[in-house]
Amino acid sequence: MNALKRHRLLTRIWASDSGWKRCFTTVSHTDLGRMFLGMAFFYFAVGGVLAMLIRAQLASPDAAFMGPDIYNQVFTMHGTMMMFLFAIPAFEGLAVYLLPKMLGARDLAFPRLTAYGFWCYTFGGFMMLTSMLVGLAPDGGWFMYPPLTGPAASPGVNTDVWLLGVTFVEISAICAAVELCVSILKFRAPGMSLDKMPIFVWYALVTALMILTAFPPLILGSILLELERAIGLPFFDAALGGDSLLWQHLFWLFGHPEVYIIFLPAAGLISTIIPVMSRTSLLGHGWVVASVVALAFLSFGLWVHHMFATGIPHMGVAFFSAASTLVAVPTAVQVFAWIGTMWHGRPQLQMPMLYILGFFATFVIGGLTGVMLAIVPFDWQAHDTAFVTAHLHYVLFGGFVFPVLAGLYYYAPLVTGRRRFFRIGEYAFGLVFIGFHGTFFAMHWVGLLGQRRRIYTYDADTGWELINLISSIGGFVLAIGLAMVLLDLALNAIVAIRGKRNPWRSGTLEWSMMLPPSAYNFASLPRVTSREPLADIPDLPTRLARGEGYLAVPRDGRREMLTVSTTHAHPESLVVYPGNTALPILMAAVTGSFFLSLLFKIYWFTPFAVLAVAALAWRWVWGLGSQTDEEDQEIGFGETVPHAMQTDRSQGWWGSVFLMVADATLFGSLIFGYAFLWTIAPNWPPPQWLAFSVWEPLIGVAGAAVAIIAARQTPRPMQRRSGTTTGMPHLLPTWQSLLGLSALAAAFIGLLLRTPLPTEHAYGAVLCVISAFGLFHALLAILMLVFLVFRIRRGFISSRRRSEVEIVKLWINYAALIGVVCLVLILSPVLFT
Amino acid sequence: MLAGSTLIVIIVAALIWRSFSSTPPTDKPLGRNIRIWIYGLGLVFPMSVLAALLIYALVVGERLLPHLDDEVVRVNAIAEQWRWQFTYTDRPEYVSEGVLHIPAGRPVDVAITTRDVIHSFWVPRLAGKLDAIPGHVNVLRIEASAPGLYHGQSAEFSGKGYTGHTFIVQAHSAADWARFLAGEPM
Amino acid sequence: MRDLLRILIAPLIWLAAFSAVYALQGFGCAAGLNEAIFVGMSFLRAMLILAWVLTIATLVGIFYWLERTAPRLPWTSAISRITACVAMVAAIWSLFPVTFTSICN
Repeated sequence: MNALKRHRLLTRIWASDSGWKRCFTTVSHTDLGRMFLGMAFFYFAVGGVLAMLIRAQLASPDAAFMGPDIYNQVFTMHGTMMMFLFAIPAFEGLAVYLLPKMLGARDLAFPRLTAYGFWCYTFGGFMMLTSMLVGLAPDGGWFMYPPLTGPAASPGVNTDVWLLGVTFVEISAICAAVELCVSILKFRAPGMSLDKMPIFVWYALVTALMILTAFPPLILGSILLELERAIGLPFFDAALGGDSLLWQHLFWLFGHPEVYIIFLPAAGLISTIIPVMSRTSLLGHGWVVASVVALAFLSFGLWVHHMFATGIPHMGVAFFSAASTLVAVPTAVQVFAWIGTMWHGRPQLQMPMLYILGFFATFVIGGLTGVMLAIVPFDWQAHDTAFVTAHLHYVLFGGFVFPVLAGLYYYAPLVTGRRRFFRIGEYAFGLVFIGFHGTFFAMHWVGLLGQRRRIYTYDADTGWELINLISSIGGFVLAIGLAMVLLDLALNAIVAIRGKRNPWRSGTLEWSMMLPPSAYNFASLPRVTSREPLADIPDLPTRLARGEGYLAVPRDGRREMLTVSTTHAHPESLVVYPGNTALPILMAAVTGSFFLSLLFKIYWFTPFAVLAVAALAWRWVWGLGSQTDEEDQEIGFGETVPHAMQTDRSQGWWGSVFLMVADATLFGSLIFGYAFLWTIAPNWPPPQWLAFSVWEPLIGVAGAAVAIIAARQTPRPMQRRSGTTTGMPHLLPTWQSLLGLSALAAAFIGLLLRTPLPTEHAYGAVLCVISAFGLFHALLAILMLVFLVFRIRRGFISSRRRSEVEIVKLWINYAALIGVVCLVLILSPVLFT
Repeated sequence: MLAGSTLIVIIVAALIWRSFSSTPPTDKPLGRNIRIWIYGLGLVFPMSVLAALLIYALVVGERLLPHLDDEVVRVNAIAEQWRWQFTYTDRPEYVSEGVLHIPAGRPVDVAITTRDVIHSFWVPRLAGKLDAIPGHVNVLRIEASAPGLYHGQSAEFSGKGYTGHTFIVQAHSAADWARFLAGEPM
Repeated sequence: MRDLLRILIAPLIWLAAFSAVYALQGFGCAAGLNEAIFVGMSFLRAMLILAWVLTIATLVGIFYWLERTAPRLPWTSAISRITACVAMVAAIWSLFPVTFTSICN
């Protein structure tokens, strides 16, 4: 088979649908990455327009352009859009597009999940955009502090739009994070051991793990606040044993890591681009990896520094002040590793490098003002002034937008296969740089003069007039510059001057493919022996196209990929991906109907939406697998591997593990909230405690024990090694598990019915949520078990095709464990009261 | 702090500038580079600066705390959308709205709370800000060195009326303060 | 996977200990432990200092364990050594305020 024939065969297998159907049925990471990025930059533009409205309002004193009603919506939506609809999705888009190419893979671990995440993001974003167009946008600030956002102070639908819309969009972040973790750890080119992964992959892995552990507190907070608003469970109402400080803790437990979730991918781009542009390799590679890990952990120990003015004891303030100063150290290590790399090599001032210089100038200033704010006596003065606004824009624009623009210019030749012809970019950079510093340098100054954030106007005698005018002019220059950047990128993408392969002479795998990339990325998967394979073997692209790699022979029209062992990347199993399908967009639409039913308070519809989601999920997984056993497959280089469904640890198992990490973090945040309300909130103890009863713990714990023990013996009965196992595994332990889980669910239903006064005190409200959490997991595991029974009956499961059994077992164990912890949390304190 | 920051910015800028005109890569050993860039500039330099700053900040912060003092005057600030009410321990029946009376030259503890949403008590010339949180009472120590009027404002976004949510602190001389406590017209 | 966990374990312990000490401070204040006296200092401060020392001791133990056992990739040991040091420095640095700052106000 020659290279051209292989290309045609693979293209037929991997291509997305043609015509209008393409964007609705595609599951290709190349398509979806571009769609993610396109949508993210659309919201960047909308958020930018909102910023211009703010600057127009503040350009002169006593402006009558907007009243506080509209102004509050505008700045709330500016912050919300930039954080949730631009920065995070832009990272997801970059990672979705780039990672398989960098890892030498043909796609991500769960192609349909990528598409589902994209559609959740799109629909959730449109929900918020629409609310803004009809004048009902959220108006409580992007941090949404109750009681201002509670049912009493904000009765309108505005706050619900934020809580439900953001949660809907965050589904895409969680999906992407699970997917990236599994893809990075299991879907690499054979031979790419942990130490040979490109540096951007390390950044993406750490960022994905951070999303899994930082977003759940926000999702929990949103659920609790929406419950308070919708059915009156008083989590944040001080008069009823709630505490508005709980929201602040949950919000910033998410909010500070979020800053680093935004910064790290951008830093990953810098670590990728600087060495290539300087014709050398990254100085202190190991130090950079370690400092990324350190940064991720330290960033979780900072959240209280957003709450220094809430009257926290000095020791608490001191802990977080100390951790906040310390986080500057790994950042400094990276910055100096980058400058050292430039010293060590010979940097060239191309377009991407220009934006990296812009990054240095901006980010270093932002970092230093950050250190100033970490010093508590200074923070007490500067907190909530324009100084903080200036600081955060230096960090976020400097630390994210500049590097991402550098990345766009760096990867434009990869995406389009063309080279730059028009030279608007250099002028655009000048405008962006001058405009940005004009806007925000002035803002430091007016902040120190005492101008507060979020005021919609100011008096003429404050002495702030000129500075604000400078700031507004700078803002408009910045906007023109950014518009020119988009124009430059668009023009150069359209004009057909084919570029050469690997224009920057990089050494990593994403440049060893056809430009623009084909639907299948690599005609055969490379065998990696160093960190820069392309530098070692300059004709690698040709060799891969000729089929000198793994999986060189297209088989049975199936989309094939390998999984590898986590550390050494030895081939482990063969994965067959699902094909193009409209299931993801359908699933996202149905998920959206769930959120809309809550938004418009059509609560009778909500259970139907949940059932529809479950039905589609059933359909989703049913389409996978096979009714016959398959022999181990040849993958090239004389190696054979089993089919993934015939292993214990399939990609679904790994995905479940990472989803559980997020779920357990949410549960941990719930436990924190329970303990926080118990000890800190005013108006405790509650008027009535839950009465202790032996029945619920007895039935629940016994049920959990039965489920776990039975699951250990769940069907592995036939140990025949022949290829065509047809016998039906016997089902008894499955039914015992089902019985056990049902008993656990019954215990929680009993507790829910007995919870005292949930709308009259936060104690009862929290108990309800914990019971519901335990019940939900028990029901989820029951649903999976029923699914498994049907799969066994239909012959999808055999003693060799066992991967689904392992996944269901994992979920049974998890649900039982969660259930027992929930019971202990609810009932053990009752014994002491 | 400002001067130090400026200095750091200039040094970093100079280092980047130099990198474009530095010598070709071959003659520089990598080990020495890592020692300079990672250990020296990346670790030792920021850690020593930050340690000094942190200890200074914590010691100052400790001193600013409201410690026991016989001289101290106690007042209460109650915020709501969008006004401020002040009551006085030494003159129990009196409530002032929009104006907080304090004696000059004596430490004053302001007990801050709120009737509805979160607000923040901030008189820039007297002290840092402290939040008014439903169900909690936070105590802020302020002291005006001379009699006069001091501008105060809420510094926590609170909805439509946030921009105009301001108040005034009036610091009295010892004699005026005595007359204020006695309820005489000022 | 085991190599990845070797890199993450020490900072994870720091994060857990940091949260635990902060929680201990909050609960201690709520329970009035700051008023009780123990060898010349408040009982709560004694407990906090004990927790601080235990955290550092645990991390030193982890460091030695990492040094004595071999990872699957030699490269991992260089990274895990740095992250273990980061965790030790972070424990000392971020929790040293237990020694002198006001605990409950």
